[in-house]
Amino acid sequence: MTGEHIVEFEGVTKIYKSKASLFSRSSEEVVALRDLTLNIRKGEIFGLVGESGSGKTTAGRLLVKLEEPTEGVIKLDGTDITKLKGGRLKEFRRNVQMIFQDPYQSLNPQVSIFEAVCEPLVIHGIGNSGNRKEMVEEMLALVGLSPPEDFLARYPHQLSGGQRQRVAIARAMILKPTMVVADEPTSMLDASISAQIFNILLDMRERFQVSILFITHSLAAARYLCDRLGVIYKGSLMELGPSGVIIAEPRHPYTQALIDALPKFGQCGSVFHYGTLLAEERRGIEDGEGKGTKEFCPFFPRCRPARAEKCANAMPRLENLSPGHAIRCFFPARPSLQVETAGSSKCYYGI
Amino acid sequence: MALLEIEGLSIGYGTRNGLLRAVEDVSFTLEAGGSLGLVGESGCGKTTLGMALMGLLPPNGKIMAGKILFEGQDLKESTEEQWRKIRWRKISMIFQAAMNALNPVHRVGDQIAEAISTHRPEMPEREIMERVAELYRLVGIPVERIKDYPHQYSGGMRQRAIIAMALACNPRLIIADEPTTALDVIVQDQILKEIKKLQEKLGLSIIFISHDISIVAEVCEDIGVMYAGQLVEWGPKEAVFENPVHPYTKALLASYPTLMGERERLRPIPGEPPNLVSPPPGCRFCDRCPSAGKSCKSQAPVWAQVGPRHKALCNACS
Repeated sequence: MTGEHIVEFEGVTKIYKSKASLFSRSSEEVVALRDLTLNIRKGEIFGLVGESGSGKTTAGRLLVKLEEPTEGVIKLDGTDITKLKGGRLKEFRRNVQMIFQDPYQSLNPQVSIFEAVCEPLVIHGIGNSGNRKEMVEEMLALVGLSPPEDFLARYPHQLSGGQRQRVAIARAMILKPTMVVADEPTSMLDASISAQIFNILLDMRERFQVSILFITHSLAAARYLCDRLGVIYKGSLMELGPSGVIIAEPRHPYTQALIDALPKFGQCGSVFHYGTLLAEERRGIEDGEGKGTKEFCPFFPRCRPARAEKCANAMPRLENLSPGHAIRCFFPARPSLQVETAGSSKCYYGI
Repeated sequence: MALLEIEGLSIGYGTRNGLLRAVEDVSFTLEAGGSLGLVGESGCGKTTLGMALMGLLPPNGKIMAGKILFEGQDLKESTEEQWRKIRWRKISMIFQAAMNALNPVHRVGDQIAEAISTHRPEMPEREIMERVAELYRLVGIPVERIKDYPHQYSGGMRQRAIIAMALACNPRLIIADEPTTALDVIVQDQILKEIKKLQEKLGLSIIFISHDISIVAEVCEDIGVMYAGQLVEWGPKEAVFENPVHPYTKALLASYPTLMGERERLRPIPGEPPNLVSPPPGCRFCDRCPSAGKSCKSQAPVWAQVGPRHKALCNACS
């Protein structure tokens, strides 16, 4: 049952419903993910890039089964994970791990570093009291907490944010999972510490061939870390392809807007500006008479190159522009004529 | 006369383990209309410095030495009464995560009005409300939203409201401490451009504090790099980016990726900043420095002039 893909999302939709309460008369629906279809290859680092409300975190949570999809199927190495129970579910948990965004909240403050990293071994019956300490020390050393003996007896409050995140990675990797979801692992860390964490993730992939779903708001971080990336906006994938290609030749207006918005320094004078974002949102695009009956491109209200006849009346489909590069847009940009100037490789971007 | 002159400023916090030397012997000037970015990792002292400039150090914080000369007057000696006349009217601040500081049960417009009436009690209410509307137009929030509550605003709008509040009494200097954390990339870009536009339009002076040098570069003309409580490099941003001299500055710049060209491994700085309760006698960066000299560990570094306005605190850099 093994193929080229470790993870497959097939038509995954997630709708959150809030019930009617004292404060709101009707129940509300939030469509966090709409018909998401994407594959992650074995040994790949796949980036899911989007702003808040895009659904990227929801996708990660669905993959680790912290939530269940409303519709659609998620497969791990060919097996439908939505139906897993019992022993097979436990096996799943060994194979799919998560690194969370907030290093100040993801470690139990009452538990020592040794116990935190050892716990997965105990839960899954790996090793014994004789060799677990060694396994933990080896993992701590691999994430750069050296010498590991110095960290075993410490507690989270004695570590910096960067160190805590290393512990979180050690804890996720000690079971040698096949898939790790890293949900914005560096957004709460300083830029210089972020770079350390990225390099550790690259090391983990090299050493263990683990596949990684890297969730981020930064295209620059995704370009550095990821082989392929998908840009997601309001629950739908807008552009998908190799990270180098998407960064050098973004064809979707939203991707282009994200690149324009990246903070940068250095020799950036010759960097191309796409200008696809409207200064003010177009008004009056409501959902039609009944909720959800009118389909339109979610990016339309902010999109400069959009044309109302098409974009405000139908939802474009995700289609291949070229092998491996897909886009959801009625009017994808033409391949840009920009030449990579010598200066633009000395322009550095915020992560 | 420069608008702001910091001379040999040292600030400490009293802790159970002893005196934490959070800011050590920092000196710089800011001309009227200038923009300075203070950059450094968490714990480098940049926020402490910003708070000191507003007289907002916590009870266990104390200015140990040095001067804060604002418009020629040393603010260090100011009483609370004197600070109240300076805060918001001369110097105002945008705090970290300020957009979460809006009171959720009061209308946003009223909160800005309150900022004005607190510091300008003589202003009649009608004039205050006109000023609020003017501020909304200035920062780009539709005037109809004045009567809304914070939860009805998006993150970007709340941040603009906070900026409006900081501008309310026409200060000369604004201290912005990580004003765009928690904002999405596109909104962050809009807010940074807004801050820059306002700075130029109103002739404001600004001190922009952040751990992220790429953000600071978008707004500021001058850059000051701080490490472990000290200012280690200082100069116009072009000079600092083109020719970084201090090994920490070089290491910091190497933490950022390019988008084009070869994908090279980032070279982050190994190790952690030193304990500031008992900092090392010599250079505080010595342990992590790839080009440390023999005497760096024991001898305190002195300023080396790199260019006309560009200097670095380093004995081993020339």
